[in-house]
Amino acid sequence: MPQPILSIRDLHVSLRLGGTEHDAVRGVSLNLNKGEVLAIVGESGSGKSLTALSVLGLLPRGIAAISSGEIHFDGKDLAQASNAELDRVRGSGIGIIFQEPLSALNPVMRVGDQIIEGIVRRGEASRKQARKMALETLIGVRISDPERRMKQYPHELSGGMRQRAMIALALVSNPAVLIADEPTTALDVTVQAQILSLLKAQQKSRDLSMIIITHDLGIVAEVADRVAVMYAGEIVEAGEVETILSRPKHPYTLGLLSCLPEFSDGGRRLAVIAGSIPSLTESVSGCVFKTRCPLYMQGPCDARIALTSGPDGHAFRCIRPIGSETPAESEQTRHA
Amino acid sequence: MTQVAATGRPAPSLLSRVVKTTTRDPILLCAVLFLLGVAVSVVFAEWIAPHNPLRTSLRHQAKLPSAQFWLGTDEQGRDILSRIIFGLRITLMTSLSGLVIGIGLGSIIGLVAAYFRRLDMLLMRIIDVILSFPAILIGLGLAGVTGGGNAGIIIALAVATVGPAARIARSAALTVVQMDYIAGARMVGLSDTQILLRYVLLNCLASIIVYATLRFGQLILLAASLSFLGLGVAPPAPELGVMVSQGRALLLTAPHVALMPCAVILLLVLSLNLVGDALRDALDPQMKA
Repeated sequence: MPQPILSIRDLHVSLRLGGTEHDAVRGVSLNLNKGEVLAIVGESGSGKSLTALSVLGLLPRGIAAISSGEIHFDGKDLAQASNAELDRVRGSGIGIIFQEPLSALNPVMRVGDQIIEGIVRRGEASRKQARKMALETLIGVRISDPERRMKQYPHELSGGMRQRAMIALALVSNPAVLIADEPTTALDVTVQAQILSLLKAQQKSRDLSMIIITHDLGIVAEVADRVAVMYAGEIVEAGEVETILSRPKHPYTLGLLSCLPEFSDGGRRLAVIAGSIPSLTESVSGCVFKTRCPLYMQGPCDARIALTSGPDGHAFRCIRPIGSETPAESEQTRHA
Repeated sequence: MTQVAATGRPAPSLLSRVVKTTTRDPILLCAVLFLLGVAVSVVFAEWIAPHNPLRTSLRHQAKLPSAQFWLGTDEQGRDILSRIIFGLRITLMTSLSGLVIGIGLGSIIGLVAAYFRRLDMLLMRIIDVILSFPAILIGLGLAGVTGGGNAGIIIALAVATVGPAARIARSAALTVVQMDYIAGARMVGLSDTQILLRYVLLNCLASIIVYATLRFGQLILLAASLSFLGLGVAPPAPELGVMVSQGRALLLTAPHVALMPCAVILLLVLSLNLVGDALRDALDPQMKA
């Protein structure tokens, strides 16, 4: 078992909404091994972005805060780290790519200046060297006409180019870990594919450890080595990509998988998971998925359910996992 | 501002865009020309004003406009045009000072309130208190304390501007502080002051500039009103509000004495509002179709 480069232990994040605190992330534990790509999957509001932002201490101040838990990176606990300590980790230790390339670049600063600013500010290089580094990184992310892009403002770039600039901004300081928060959500499908292959290539060539946050299982299948499925602030299933995608244990994961449109299915209606994720203000006792679960059973599912882990590292939070049900129920699940 | 657009076509320079927008709209063009004229005559008043604004003449009392006195003379035989030009200097300096102080302080308060959410409640409630005092009342109170003069008016104008400016700056900054690039700036390790100045302020600047332009016209009116009430500079000095106030006595026999400075105030405020509106159309992203 290799030593994980980044390890999150029992992380709780509380969100302040209308004066009251709600637990938006409840007891998330994750390990990121060196050189691997870990995907965090979940629908909007499942707490996946909050988990990622807490790693870098970038939770919106006054709104969200880490209430307990540990985040180990490079011998430090980032959950307890001071802002100055976090500063040393940000950028050069852990980099981040945001979801919206439009809002992630300062519209009143030239792209080049934004990339250079980080390098100079961290004292990694002089302004002149920084300019060279920025240009090299932009060439590395295969942006067209990089010299000119340096002098342009974000609104003059297309969505794909902006996202490439964002990736350059994150990579320029050579981080050991890269967090990509829905890096392709705001892009066209064709550009998505380019950005994904770029990320994958950079991850390989720089031996990056990467956390990719997404709600798209197609992306997971394409780039990830391991995957953690989040639902309502908890990890409901985690393991190797092949295992999770081909033999899911948790009904939610199965639900997500059956929601993928398939061409071979021609003419079938798109499957959906009925209902919606419980809101933060509702308190759910027992399994968080029980309100939407086709296999819900009164009694056992109302008690708190622990994450059980198998020998192959496949962990799931369900007492009636897929494969353990009766044939009739199995039929029901498939069509739910 | 001559970078090249992504399409490869050179982007039109800022100046050429301004000229193009202005010449397309004749009313806006008039407003801009009037403001330019005012600016030039205020700066070069000593050379442009045809007469000494303070010299009285018993032979030319309350004369109608003529070739010698383009806008006529007042009850003491002083040239109204010259008095207006020098009066504009005082009025504009007063309202501009009040504007700069008020917008400056208001923007700082608004940005800080939006960025440091903990201070939001406290700062904005203080602003609410300030907003509840009418500017005229503050002016009257300050005149009582300072014994009249321009300083009192400037403070009154500044106080009257701080409140709305803080609200404008805060509302603009609230959307900016949620942007990912602010998290990105924290990621880079910039200090709060740097983020506030280079990220938040710069991105809110358009809204603040538009508001300042529109507010400028209102402050000129307010400054003229306060001096009309006798709170500003002492009478021999020319000031638009004072001139209107003095001409009031001759309103039936020589209406031009009061109406000429009135007309200038009207044109000035109107032009500033027109330019402010044009600026808002050009700068405010929310206004774009």
